[in-house]
Amino acid sequence: MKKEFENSEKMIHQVVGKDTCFAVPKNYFEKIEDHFSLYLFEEKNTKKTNFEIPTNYFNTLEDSILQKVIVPKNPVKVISLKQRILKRVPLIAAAVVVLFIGLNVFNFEEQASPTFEAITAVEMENWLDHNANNIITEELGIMLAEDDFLNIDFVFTEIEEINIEHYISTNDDLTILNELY
Amino acid sequence: MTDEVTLLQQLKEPKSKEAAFRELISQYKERLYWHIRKIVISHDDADDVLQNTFIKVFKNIEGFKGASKLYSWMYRIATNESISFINKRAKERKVSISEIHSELATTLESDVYFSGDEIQHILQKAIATLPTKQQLVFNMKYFDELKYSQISEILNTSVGALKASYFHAVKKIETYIQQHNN
Repeated sequence: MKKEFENSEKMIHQVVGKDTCFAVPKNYFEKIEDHFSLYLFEEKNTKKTNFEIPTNYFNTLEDSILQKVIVPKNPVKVISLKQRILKRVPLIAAAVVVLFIGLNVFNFEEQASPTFEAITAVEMENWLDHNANNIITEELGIMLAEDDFLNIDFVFTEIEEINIEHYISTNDDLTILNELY
Repeated sequence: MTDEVTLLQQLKEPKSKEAAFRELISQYKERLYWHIRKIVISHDDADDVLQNTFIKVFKNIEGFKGASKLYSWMYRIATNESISFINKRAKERKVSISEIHSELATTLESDVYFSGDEIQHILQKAIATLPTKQQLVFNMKYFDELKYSQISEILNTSVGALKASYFHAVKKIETYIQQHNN
């Protein structure tokens, strides 16, 4: 019997060999190790974060959030137009009386129209500070006579040659060259 | 408990919006809170972010088309609000995001709302060393026990990438715990 069984085995082996022909996906056995190490980690370590919260925190949460998003509807007060006008009549009457008295009793002197001489140096400097970008230098040049330039005491700082060269090379304004000649 | 479809309809109706929103908060407040808390660590900060999340949900619910589940959409808002909070804190203090995470984990030592022992503290510090995305994946998979498909919908990341993220996160945490746990 035993020999018969062995012969049967041999026959099968000769025909099909020892290969089951079952296949596995690529890297299957490497991934099993990974899955198992994850499983071990989760089993070993607790799932509790141990974060705590104040007592009754969740019980009052709805109210505090709703307060921020829902605008309370206030009842609209209706005041009649007649009432509004009647309220203001005494005020209007008082204002008219004061105006009448003011116009007849007090003499308002005509303010003199401003003159150039009345403008102080400080006011002029303030105006220049705020309007420097609006000043067109050519207009200034037209306004000032040649004698004015002779009378102005210009204070020149020492300008280095390299700075002059840099200015000329970076400035496309051809009028500079025209003025030199 | 009202089902999601009905709740959504009620949220979009002006007459029923307030009551429906109250129920929405009631249904989802704890899940969203704990998700936020794991990111920002402090209870006070989590409370702020949670409230901002619900305010955003309230303001934008009419625009929600239902392409994803309502919970996934809210979870996504909560995640973005938490990340924005961390980024803003880092910018204010002129430090990197990883430094902020590390700082937050360190404060747990003296936090009255943390009842963990030393190993729990080490775990939180280990999580803080991970890049933001890995932290999110780890928290959602390990603590919240969400499926990869759910995490994928929330983070808009493929399942394969999430699995890889989770694997790397676990390995790094394991190494950190082994190095710091005497």
